[in-house]
Amino acid sequence: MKIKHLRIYFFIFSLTILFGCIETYDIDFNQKNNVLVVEGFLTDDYQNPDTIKIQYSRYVERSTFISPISSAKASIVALGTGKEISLVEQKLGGFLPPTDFRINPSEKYSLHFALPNGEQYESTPEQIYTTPPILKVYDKFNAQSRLSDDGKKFLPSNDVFVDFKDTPKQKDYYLWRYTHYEKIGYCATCFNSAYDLRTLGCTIKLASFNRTPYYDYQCDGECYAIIKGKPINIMSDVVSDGDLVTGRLIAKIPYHYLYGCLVEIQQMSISPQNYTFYRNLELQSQSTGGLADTPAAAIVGNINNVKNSSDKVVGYFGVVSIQKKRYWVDRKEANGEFDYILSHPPVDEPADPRDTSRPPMIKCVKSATRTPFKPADWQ
Amino acid sequence: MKIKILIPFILFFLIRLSGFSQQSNAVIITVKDSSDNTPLKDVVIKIDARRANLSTNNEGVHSFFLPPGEYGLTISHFGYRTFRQKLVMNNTEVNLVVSLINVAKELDEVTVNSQNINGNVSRPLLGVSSLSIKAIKKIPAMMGETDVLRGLQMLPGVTSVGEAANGVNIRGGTTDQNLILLDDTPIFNPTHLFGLFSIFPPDAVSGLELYKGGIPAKFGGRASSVIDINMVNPSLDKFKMTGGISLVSNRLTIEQPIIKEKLAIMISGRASFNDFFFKLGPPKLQNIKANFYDLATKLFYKMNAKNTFTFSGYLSKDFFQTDLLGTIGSVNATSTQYDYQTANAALKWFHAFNSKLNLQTTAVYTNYQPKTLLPELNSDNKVSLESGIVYNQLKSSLNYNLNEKHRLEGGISTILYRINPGILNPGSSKSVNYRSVPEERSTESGIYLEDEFTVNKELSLSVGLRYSFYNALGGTVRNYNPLLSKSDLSVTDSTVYKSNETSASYGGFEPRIALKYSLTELTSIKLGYSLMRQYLQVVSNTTTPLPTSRWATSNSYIKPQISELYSGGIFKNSRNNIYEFSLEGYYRSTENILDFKPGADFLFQPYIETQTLQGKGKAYGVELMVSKKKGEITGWVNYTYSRALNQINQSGRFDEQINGGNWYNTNYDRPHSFNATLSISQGSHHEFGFTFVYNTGRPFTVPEGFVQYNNVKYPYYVERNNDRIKDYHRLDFSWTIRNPSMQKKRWEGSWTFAVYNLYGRANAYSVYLRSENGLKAYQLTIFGSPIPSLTYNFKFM
Repeated sequence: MKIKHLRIYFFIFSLTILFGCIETYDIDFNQKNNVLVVEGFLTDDYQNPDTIKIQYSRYVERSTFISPISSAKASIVALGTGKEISLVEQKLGGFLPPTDFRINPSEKYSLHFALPNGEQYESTPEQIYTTPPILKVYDKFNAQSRLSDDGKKFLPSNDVFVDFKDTPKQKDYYLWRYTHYEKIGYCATCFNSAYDLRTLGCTIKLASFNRTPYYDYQCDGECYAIIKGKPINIMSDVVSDGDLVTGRLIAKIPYHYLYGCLVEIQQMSISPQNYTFYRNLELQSQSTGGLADTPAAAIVGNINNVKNSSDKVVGYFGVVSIQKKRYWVDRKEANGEFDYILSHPPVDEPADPRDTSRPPMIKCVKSATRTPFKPADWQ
Repeated sequence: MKIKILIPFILFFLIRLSGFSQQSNAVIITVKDSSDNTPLKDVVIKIDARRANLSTNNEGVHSFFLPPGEYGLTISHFGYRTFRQKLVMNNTEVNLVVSLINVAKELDEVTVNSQNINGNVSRPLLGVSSLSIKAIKKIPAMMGETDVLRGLQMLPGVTSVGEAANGVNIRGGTTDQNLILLDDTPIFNPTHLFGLFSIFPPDAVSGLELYKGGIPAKFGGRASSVIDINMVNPSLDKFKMTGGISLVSNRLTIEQPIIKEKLAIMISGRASFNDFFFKLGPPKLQNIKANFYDLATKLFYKMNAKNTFTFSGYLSKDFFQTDLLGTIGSVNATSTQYDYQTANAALKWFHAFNSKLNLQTTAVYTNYQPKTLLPELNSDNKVSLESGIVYNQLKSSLNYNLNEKHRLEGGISTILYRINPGILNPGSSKSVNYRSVPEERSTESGIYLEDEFTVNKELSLSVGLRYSFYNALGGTVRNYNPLLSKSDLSVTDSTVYKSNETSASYGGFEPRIALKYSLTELTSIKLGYSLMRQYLQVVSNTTTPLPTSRWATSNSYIKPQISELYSGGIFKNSRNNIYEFSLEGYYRSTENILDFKPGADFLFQPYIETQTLQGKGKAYGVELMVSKKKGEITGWVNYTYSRALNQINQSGRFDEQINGGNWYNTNYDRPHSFNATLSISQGSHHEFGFTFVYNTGRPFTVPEGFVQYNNVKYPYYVERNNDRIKDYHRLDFSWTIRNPSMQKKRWEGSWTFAVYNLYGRANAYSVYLRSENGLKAYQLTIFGSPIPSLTYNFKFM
């Protein structure tokens, strides 16, 4: 129960504002080894299947790095029939099921994979659960929606909600994901430097700035930011079995611009074990170190090394049915201060009459976080 | 010698010559011992700090001359309380008779020992401390609130996990391993406002006894200690009123005889009005409401010389509201309100058969009800999540002083527990269902006999034996596949029991033995052994239990906790009982301690065995204590070295082990602890108090590093409690001015100015991780600056 772990924190936080303080604390992290991480679900969204990623996560000098593992072999095994379906390795890393693969609702599936070093892993079997459809999506502007990172002020957002009807007389566990698309005008920011079209980077060192230690550079053509929702959003129907669930908060869309943006919401029914994994993950990520915290524990899911039980793998292999909806947030009611997508008000590099090529326009290159193509249902 | 006698006269002659133009008058001071009026010679007399020292003669008399004016008179003598008074000289002679109080003969100012004078040395009591409310009130109070639990933490072997901990840890035990009794009624949540203040109204409490070693056989049901808090007995002969106003709360206590020498009542109330704290804060805190009140009463009826009846009642309530939190499940809440209350009552009948034999019979009722309320958006409806514990006890004990060598006590007790694990009441909500977990019912009974046996002048024993037995009643008991972790998926079958049918039972003997051997009249050594069984525990996987934490009794799978404590010590008093020294050591092992699976969720979970793990605990330590009980300066100093470790290895499976099944530090493992409390009395009007506290930082879990999962960085934990937060230390100060008008009146007021955390040490409340601009660790401090407070107290009698 998330609420339990926050209540003292907020009370203590209130006292801290009156009498206390927050200071940085030196900790030497001691992570020596790569941690094997497995992401992605086997889904019934056959047009846009999840990429199942098998990769190492490294932590070096306060940063985490992901290293995809190439040449691994991965497959899905159907428990009932014993049939093994090989997954297809992608050029950019990760695996996809074959395009003709369809999930049998009465079958249980497990993920098997072998790494180039010979280590073999398999997940516990998982079965698909029917996901009820999203009945309604709506939003409401909230001037005090989120606390800023420093906890000193509230930030405005359009809060996006869904309504759905829970399936009666069965225990259901839900997970929501969302992707937020935003049309952006600036494609690069250079700190203490200027953009160089030859190197495609901020490689021109600058000694002095007029007002701010950065310049922002406009996009050359249309460009859309792809922002994946980060907070874990799970729910058990323990208090609402069979009810119409209204006003489930899915996303807090920051007030980046005056014009609207697009949100794609995915609703999934997950297994009780998968719910426990996400719940544990949620508790760990919300840890305040305070007296109301639950004990820290390794975020280990249902994937095990076949021969070495002490080898811990982060991630959970699940089989899920996805119900999704796209929703346009028009921001007509939004007001107040902007929450800049760049984290600062944009500042253009001053035009130079002697060099008309400056400031340069930056090309919008397709990537996991950006696309020059207008998303479907963009208004 | 002659010169010595002449010195004062010479000095005063010089003073007179040095420019006093006004006429001086004689001051004749006679100093006597207050107990027998014996004149005291060589008593040092000071007139202002800068004046010369004078001393009395064999008749306890000294005389000198002073010009008109106001002077500070100080009379001091070794072994006696210093006398201070303002001396006003007009144009008349002053004749003053002063009775100095012999410190060795006065009553203890500070009582931190066994019950009677020299009792810590002469009786077979180990690990027993008495703390009077007088001693607790001398300890500088945080925000002016005299706090029994904070006072308790100044004793050796008593620590907590932090500044807002909901309870104390005693000799390596968890907070729920302490049986806290307020006039025989158990207290399940000992603090107000999430651990900031203890719930015991200071004016209604007379004192407490802490049993952390040799626990008398009459107590049972907890594995670690007993904190027995007694309420004030109302005065049978005169009306009394006390009260006070502090930054946090207002208090009023009345003692009123109803039938003189027969029937009297005490009523004590305390209520907080501290919402304004949040109104003064930033806008986002202005909707926070945080208030509490408590009400205690005691009715005493002396029917005749052989029969008395006592009724004790206690009511406590907390309310906390914030709109900064999330919600439960699908409830669309605008804010979260916490509302928890305790209602306790005890009726005691004391019957003396004769001067050697008496019977005490007590009926106890406790009802603890925490509630979480969720006001729904666009509605007047509140969804409520309610839980509770109802405790009914009937007990009777027979005390028999057989002769000078044997003091016998025997008794029986039976408890009925009724636990409501959770009810969700939707009110008029359409998106929330009514939901409840079946009530858990169980009984715990005990029978005991104890003899304090004085073998000879040197050797005495306390031998007790308790037998406790426990029955869980009704409910559904599942069977699980032994090859799998207990979960909904590993159930093989289940058995349904009728409501009064026993579904699980436990029991066993609980020996309590202590031995005292006197080396001299003032020095003794003691050894002890005790075994305790605990059938009721709090189910909370947080560092400190929350007020809304669920309680659960043992069932077919949750086995009772069994604790064995071995202890020994050496005790010594100074000849005049001014100083006490003790050195105690202990080793405790506990079976079936409770821990929890990662991500455990108890909300509406009827089968908590699917969320829990059980294992072993061990704790050991050495406690050194020195106290000065009488005199102008009183107080105590103690140092404790202790360790507390757990081992959870329920099966070889990863999810049923903690730290790979190895021993690990508990959350409250704080090896070094040093406490000092000092009270300096400057006459009857001024008193200064100082406390200093030092503890090793509590353990916390540092991740080995971080992993990136679904584009989010998560801390990657490998071992629990593998590091410690920084050491804790703090100095507090208080200055009490009693009766500032200095006139004898029925109404007497006093002011206490206190500063908590005098040197502003930024002690860590918690250490947490954030991934802004790279991954960083932060330390959160609640009270990082000195916190001054001013309290007005009064008494009317």
